[in-house]
Amino acid sequence: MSDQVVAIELLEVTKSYASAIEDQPGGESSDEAVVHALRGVTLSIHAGELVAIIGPSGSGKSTMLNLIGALDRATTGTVRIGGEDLGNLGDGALTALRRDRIGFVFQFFNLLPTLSALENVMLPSLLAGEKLGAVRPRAEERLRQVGLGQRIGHRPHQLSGGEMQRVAIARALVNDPPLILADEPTGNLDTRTGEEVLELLFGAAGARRTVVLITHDPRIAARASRVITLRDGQVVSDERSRPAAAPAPAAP
Amino acid sequence: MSGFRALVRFVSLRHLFTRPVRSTLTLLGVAFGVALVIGMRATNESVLDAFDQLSDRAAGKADLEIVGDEAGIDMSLLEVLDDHREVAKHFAGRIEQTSYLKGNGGKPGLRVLVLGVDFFGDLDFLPFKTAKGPDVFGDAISFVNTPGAVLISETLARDQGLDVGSAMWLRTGEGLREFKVWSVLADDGKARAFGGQVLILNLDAAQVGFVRGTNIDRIDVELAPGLTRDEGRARLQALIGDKARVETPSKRADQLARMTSSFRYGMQMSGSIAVLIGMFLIYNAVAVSVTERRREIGILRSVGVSRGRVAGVFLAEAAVIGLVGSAFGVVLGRVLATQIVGEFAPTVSRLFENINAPRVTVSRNLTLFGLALGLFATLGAAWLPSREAAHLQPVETLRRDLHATGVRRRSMRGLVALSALGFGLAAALSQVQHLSAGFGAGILVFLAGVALTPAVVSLLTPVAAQLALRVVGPSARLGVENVTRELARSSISVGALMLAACLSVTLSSYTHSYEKSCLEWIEQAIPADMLVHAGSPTIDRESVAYSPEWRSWVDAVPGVEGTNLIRSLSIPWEDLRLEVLSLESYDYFRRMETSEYRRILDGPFPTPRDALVKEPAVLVSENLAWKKRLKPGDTITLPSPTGPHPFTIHAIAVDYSTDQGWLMMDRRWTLEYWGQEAIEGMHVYVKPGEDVDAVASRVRAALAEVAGDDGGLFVTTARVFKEEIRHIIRQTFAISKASEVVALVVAVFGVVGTMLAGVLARTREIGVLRAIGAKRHQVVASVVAESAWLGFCAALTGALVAVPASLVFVHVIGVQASGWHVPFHYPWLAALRMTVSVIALAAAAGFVPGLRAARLVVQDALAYE
Ligand SMILES: Nc1ncnc2c1ncn2[C@@H]1O[C@H](COP(=O)(O)OP(=O)(O)OP(=O)(O)O)[C@@H](O)[C@H]1O
Ligand SMILES: [Mg+2]
Repeated sequence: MSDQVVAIELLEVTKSYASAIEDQPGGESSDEAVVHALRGVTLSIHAGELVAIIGPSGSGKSTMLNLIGALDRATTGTVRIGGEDLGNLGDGALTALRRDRIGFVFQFFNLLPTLSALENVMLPSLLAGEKLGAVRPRAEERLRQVGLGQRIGHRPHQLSGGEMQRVAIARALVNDPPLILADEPTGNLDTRTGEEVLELLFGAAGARRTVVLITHDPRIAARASRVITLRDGQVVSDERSRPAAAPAPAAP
Repeated sequence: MSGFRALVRFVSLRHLFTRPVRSTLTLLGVAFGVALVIGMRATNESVLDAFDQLSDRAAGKADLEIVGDEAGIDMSLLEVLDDHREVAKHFAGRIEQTSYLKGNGGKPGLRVLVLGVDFFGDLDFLPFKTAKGPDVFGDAISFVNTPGAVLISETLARDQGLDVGSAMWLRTGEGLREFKVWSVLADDGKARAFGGQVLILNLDAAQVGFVRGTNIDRIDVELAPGLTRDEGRARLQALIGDKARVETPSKRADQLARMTSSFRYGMQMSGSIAVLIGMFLIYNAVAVSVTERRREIGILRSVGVSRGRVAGVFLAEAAVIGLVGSAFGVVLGRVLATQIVGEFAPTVSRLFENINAPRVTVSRNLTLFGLALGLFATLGAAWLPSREAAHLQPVETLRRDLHATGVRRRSMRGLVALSALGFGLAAALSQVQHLSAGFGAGILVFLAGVALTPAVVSLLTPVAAQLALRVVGPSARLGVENVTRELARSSISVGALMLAACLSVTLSSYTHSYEKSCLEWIEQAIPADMLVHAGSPTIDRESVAYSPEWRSWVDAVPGVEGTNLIRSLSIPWEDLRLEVLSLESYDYFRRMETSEYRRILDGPFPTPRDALVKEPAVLVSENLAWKKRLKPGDTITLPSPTGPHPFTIHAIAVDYSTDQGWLMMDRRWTLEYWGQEAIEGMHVYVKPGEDVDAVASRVRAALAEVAGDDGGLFVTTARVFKEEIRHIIRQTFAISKASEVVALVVAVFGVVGTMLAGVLARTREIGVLRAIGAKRHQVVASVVAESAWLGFCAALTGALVAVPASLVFVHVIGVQASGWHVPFHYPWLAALRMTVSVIALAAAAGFVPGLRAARLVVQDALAYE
């Protein structure tokens, strides 16, 4: 255990939102309220782990994932990715970090509607300044890996929900990032399609690639190597189990 | 009803407060649209008002006016009227002359309207009141008998620091002469004509001072009770025969209106296009905001709100936005008009006699028009999308809209067909010989261009996207593609920008074509080396005539080879006011024989010795010939104080000095028929080898001796004169240039609005982009690329559509309004300049929304709905 590389480290992380309450019926929108989305979370995730985060709605799951994904900054505490303290990085560096070391899969609205599947997959590399010719074979290969070798020219609206998620996974993998983050990637899909998408995500974990996914489905969580439960912005349980489906990269 | 109130509260008001940027954008879109329309209209109205002020000069409460040509009417007509009091109950003769008043105590000089009033006639017509000094209207004897006594308006007294008893210097036919203020007139009634710069002399004094002989300019007539205007008019005309014409005061206003017609048409055209652009802007702003809320409409429908109610709420909301936005727009438009007029009043007054800096007012009608336009456009823009959304099945609007909402192929084909139809119809209309048909053709061409825009955009975008990807990078490509993706909405702002760009190039083309021809013409029109002129030859159209005897003083100046006496008369003829140039044709054509003279378009070159001298014959300008279908050999009969005289048309010549019609005749005829000895100018020829400037200063010195220092005679070398003319020609079009710039700027605001709305609508997408690693500058680049591409499409289409549009302007509207056929020139340079500036402006317009996009917090953007 101790020889394992720490991929993600959270130290006493809190996140609070101060916001006007807007959606109260009656329109009294003046009272300010502070929402403590995370109340001191400390945990570390090793490279190669497949982690599921569960918890009731509003417990802070997405908030935590966004902090890990360098999409947002913690109110207090430290977030380290690959040993790097995100608090010390500027926006440019955070962007580069996301682009090169993290792949995202969201519940919906993952793809740019004007681009074909292939173009969506190529985009992060192209944005990084890579040449089209260099990116293309890799992106095609990723699409074949997710079983969409025949659909590379299709635009998002010509794809089914499951296919769109698979394109998103292919995109998340295109730069071969050490970390994949997924926020309810199957939340929008039927059970079977969801299974297929999960297979791909689980398959991506391993070697030194870490996968963190949020889910509401206990059966999915059961297949992860580690399950972290949040409640009211705090970690209430953190269990490692034998993964059922994915090849165990590092058996405890 | 309570349901409706709940809807308004939770849907409309909530939207307003929770999406302040969007609501402000929509409101501003409406306001800018209305402001553009109001601004242009108010500019037009106030400039035209200023024109009308002129016609309004001093008609008093006369029913009818008896007028001659510029040479005036003989005073004997007064006796004729006196014998027929059963027709003319009251009447008064009058002289009207604009002249130059030397500034008092170092103040700049200014143009004034001098009225020569017959104080022994009926004074009922003169609605003047004495404010200070002896009351002339009660007792005129001593005023009339005091040489050099003058009445001035309060305005003049105030502006020039004059008072009763002050001395002042006025330009007359004898040079600058001293006058003394007798009394000051109250600033009301006709003392306000001509911007209040009014000055009254006794009739005799005015006749002498302005070399009128025994002529007067007009007689105001009040008809005997019981006579209608038409009866009175017929009887008076019968009494005076063809020595003068009887007109209703409004007829004169009509004439003035016609004189300034081509100017008016230009203003009207840009005004109508402003309405179009304004409507587009409003439509764009409102349609975008409603389309974006389709999801909201879907939710409302799914919770059981009826179609009608949904549409009702959105329309009510639109009505409020329309009214508030339009009200704001009216205010903004006024500011805009004040700016434009302030900038260009000097040009206008230079060109069209003396308009004293027009005051900008937004009339009640115009305000109502602006509000109605804003409301109408807003409701129309809200109605279509909200109706469409209300008719969709709720589930359709609830689906997360991943579809590219591009214009469907079918409607694209329809638009292209519509555009072709528009161009075809415009071509057909161009054949109709009527100005309104010409206008219709112009507007149709512009509309057809708008209809063509989406096709141009969708045709070019794939290529441009590839290019953007290769040259700039993937973010630029995303931006470029976004234009077609929301073509339905972006094509409206592209359309507005296209219209502005097209208007700009079209006006340039119009200007350019006329300018080129005018400059060629001016080279030939002034063969002399130097001009001696009463009043500035370029500024003063109605200048004070002076005695031909002054010629001997000029001829005697060393270095002067010869002179030619110039007089121009303004003669009412049919519905036109012709400008007759009289000169010594023998001398003129003798000198022309040796030069390359290209002014004759049709007919023989006049042989100097006899062509225009032997028999009454004239050269006629092309525009007059065109308007009245005249050919060489035809006869034109001109009215004169000695009755009508027929002239043979010798040839048709190029002349751009007036859009009314121009004639050239020998001095012999102005002497014989019009009794006009006085001249307005001299062409001076310098001996070969002499330095023109040196001779000019000698002429100046010689004239100063006769007329006194600053004697009101200008000596201008031909080189300087032509330079000044060139300057004026360019300035003529400056006011349309201003409207063009305004249209462009407002259209760019439309682009800012569209881009901001686009950025808002794509917030989540931008979030994804940022999440997967797009840097801030890449996001900015994508938005800027989008708006620059939008600008490019607009500029390109605009430049293309400008070809048929300016053909219609130059070959149809221009000809119909002025009668001048000028060769068409496409203004390549101006088109290029416009393209570059539209792209630059559009790119700049994308910058603010781009920054906004880049500043989005990624996480918030992802959570955005
Ligand atoms: N931008 C925000 N402003 C204010 N409060 C926020 C914001 N984002 C999240 N919250 C609040 O923070 C808390 C945690 O939200 P979070 O989205 O992390 O929950 P979650 O566990 O992902 O829930 P779900 O399972 O429903 O997605 C919630 O109470 C939420 O209302
Ligand atoms: Mg969540």
